[in-house]
Amino acid sequence: MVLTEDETNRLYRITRTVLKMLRDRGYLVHNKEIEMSKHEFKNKFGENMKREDLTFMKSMRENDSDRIYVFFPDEAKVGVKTMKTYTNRMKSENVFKAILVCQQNLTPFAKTCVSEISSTFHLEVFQESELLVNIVEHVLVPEHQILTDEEKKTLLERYTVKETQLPRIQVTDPVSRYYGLKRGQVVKIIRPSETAGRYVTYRFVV
Amino acid sequence: MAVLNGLRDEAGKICMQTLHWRNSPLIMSQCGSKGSPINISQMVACVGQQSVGGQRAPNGFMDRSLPHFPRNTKTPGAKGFVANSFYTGLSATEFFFHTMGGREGLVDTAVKTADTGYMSRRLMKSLEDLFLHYDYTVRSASNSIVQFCYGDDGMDPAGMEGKDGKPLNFERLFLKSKAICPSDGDDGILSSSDVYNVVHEKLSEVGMSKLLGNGVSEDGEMSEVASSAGFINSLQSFIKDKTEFTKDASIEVDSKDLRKFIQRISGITRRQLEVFLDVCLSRYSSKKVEAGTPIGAIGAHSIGEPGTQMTLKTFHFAGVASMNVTLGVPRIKEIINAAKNISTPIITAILDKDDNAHTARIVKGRIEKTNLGQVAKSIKVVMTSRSASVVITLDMERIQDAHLNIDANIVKESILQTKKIKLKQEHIKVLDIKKLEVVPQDADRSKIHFQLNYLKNLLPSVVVKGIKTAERVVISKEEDKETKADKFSLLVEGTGLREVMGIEGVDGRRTVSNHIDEVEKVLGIEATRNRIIHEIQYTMGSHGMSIDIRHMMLLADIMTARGKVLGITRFGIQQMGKSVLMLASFERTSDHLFNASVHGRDDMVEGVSECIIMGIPIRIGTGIIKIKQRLDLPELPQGSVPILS
Repeated sequence: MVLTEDETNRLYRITRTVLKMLRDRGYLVHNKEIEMSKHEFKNKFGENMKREDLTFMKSMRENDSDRIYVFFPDEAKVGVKTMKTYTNRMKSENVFKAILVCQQNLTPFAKTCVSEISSTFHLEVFQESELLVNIVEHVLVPEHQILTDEEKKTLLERYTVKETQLPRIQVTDPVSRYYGLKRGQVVKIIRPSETAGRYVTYRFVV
Repeated sequence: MAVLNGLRDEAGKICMQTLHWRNSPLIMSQCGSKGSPINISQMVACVGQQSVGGQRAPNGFMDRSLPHFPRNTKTPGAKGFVANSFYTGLSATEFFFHTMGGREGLVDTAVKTADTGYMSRRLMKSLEDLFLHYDYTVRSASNSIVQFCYGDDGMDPAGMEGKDGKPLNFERLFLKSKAICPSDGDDGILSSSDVYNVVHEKLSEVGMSKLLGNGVSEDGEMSEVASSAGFINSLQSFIKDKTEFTKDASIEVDSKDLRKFIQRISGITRRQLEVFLDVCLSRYSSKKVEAGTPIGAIGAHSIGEPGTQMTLKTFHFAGVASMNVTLGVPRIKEIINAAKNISTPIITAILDKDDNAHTARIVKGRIEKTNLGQVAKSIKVVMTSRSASVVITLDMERIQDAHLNIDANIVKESILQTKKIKLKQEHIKVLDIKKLEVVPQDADRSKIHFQLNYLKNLLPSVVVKGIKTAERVVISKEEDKETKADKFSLLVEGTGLREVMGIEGVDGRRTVSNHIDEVEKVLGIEATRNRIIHEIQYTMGSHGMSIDIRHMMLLADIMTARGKVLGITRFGIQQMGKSVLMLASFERTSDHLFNASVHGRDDMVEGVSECIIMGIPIRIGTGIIKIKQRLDLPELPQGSVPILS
């Protein structure tokens, strides 16, 4: 199946967002990869590219063994069968995290499959339409930073609160999904303010 | 409608200009005691178009509004335009239309009081136990933090002097301090570097000097000092403006006397600057909110009260004609209730290239929903002796005009993707670039007629191009104030923010929607908070009311504090982690009490409602302070056991 011009454009935008996302999460991504132009992208993957060709793997900046796969399935609807091939591939290469970029929703069976294997393989599912625009760059979305355990402790001590007494953000929130936040983390949000110029707030991931 | 409404306004304007200056109603309107140009125009010229539900008078009879008119008349008079004035007297039909319009006004005022009253009550219930603590945080009764610093800067909205809720009116204070200590000519004006030093000195006295320059403190925490960054910044830029003016003035003039004169007018002496800064800083620090202030209750009042002044239903043209936006009480209600379906969702899409009308039209074509019926020249049932089919012919001229990229193959794809029409690849034949044939599934011959007609009725509604939820797209043209160049953006009526953002040619990073729920799904909770504040402000602003932004921030923060948007309704308040007694005092009393007793709930009696119910002093204001006493029970001497006889 050869992709149309429109679709290559879409895929170009999607890969760029995915690469930026991985860089923001602390994976080793070269600037050259992100700044790749549309033309270079086309040259790299040739005239008749497939979605599967885009699949790549990145590793953490500090920790080489912490790696993540990004899969681009060809099928419009991803079923259990494709999932199985991916997990096998991950198992053979000892990678336990992956991002799945699908065109449409998963099939209901595949969805249950993701939650079943979540103890060993951490799979994040994104739809292509979500990744066309990098929402973190949107004018309405302020800067989010993840706090380390130590910073979190000092914060809680400073305000003498339990973590559940902080304002919250959901794990399913688009921004939390972008940064791959987990339950129990705290994000620091720095937003421009009309009255104070700049305002810092925190949200607890639930 | 717009033309007819304009007629009355135009007449009003002429009345105001040409009436004799001793005309009593004119004097009344001009001096502002009562009445507007519209009232004068209604008395003198014409009463104007009557509207029912934002439309001209509806057809109460078959194809006509009243039986006095021939069928299908669309003349102004037959659709509720009152050409007479109150002085000349209304004709019978005009009078009837006027009562129709008048009744709507009456119903509105009756409904409005009930609606806004209930809204105030709900706001009060959700915000009642928020108050400021001694560590500058705003917390709810159960001590969960809602804001780390009230209104981002910890200032009291009631004390704000400047415009738009700015703490101080620098201009006035500056003039005042210049008037208090006039320059005698002995102490020269300060150069800009001297000014900077003085400012720095003064600020370091109060420990704010590190905010100078970039206006951001290093530690990044929200402390008392950091929250003043906005204030210090505006102060700094104000002083800079003032001193720059002096610099220019001192260069041009040579004569000594003249220079002195200018110094007196526009220069600043050290003393003046010091006095000015002292006044600013002391006033600023006196305007901080005090701990214990019931911010929540104040906020609820400040949003609820202006609501009562709004007219219930108003529609407003958002820059472009024929684009309606719900405003007034219904819109405030939508925002506060966090409604899933709002009556006029609008996406404002900014274009990548916003200086070109042609590209705007192309992008418009990509977004706007286009049905097959709109681009087809004909959809006909064709029956021959051997086969029967539906033939679609596309109107290529129209497609070209609208800058759409549609041909028979694309139409085929989109028919296949439409779920309601159960057709397969082999049923659709592309004859040439603008013609295709649909052969229905081979059913038995008796049913084929029905099937063909069914298809013929269904096919025009197939979406061939664009986003299904985008009903209409309007190009809005705005003039840039600086460059005088036209700027184009698109207003999309409908939902589908994510899809619109992804369209090629749209700058997704600056595209926003007025639909709160959708923003939450696409951009997350923080963006939603921003939108809630903006939408309330916009709605209030278009009714000529301005509310201090700190109240709206508090409301938006409480709505988003739980990670998802909670409406100020009985369902939302229930999820805000309130106590049982508070919920019971709000709505569905018995349900909450039964539930609590079944589950064995505790109530800590912390909030305002609970305390009032129990008859305990509320923990707000002076009530936050309690006395702690060490409890060493005195050893009581053991007396002899009383003998009962």
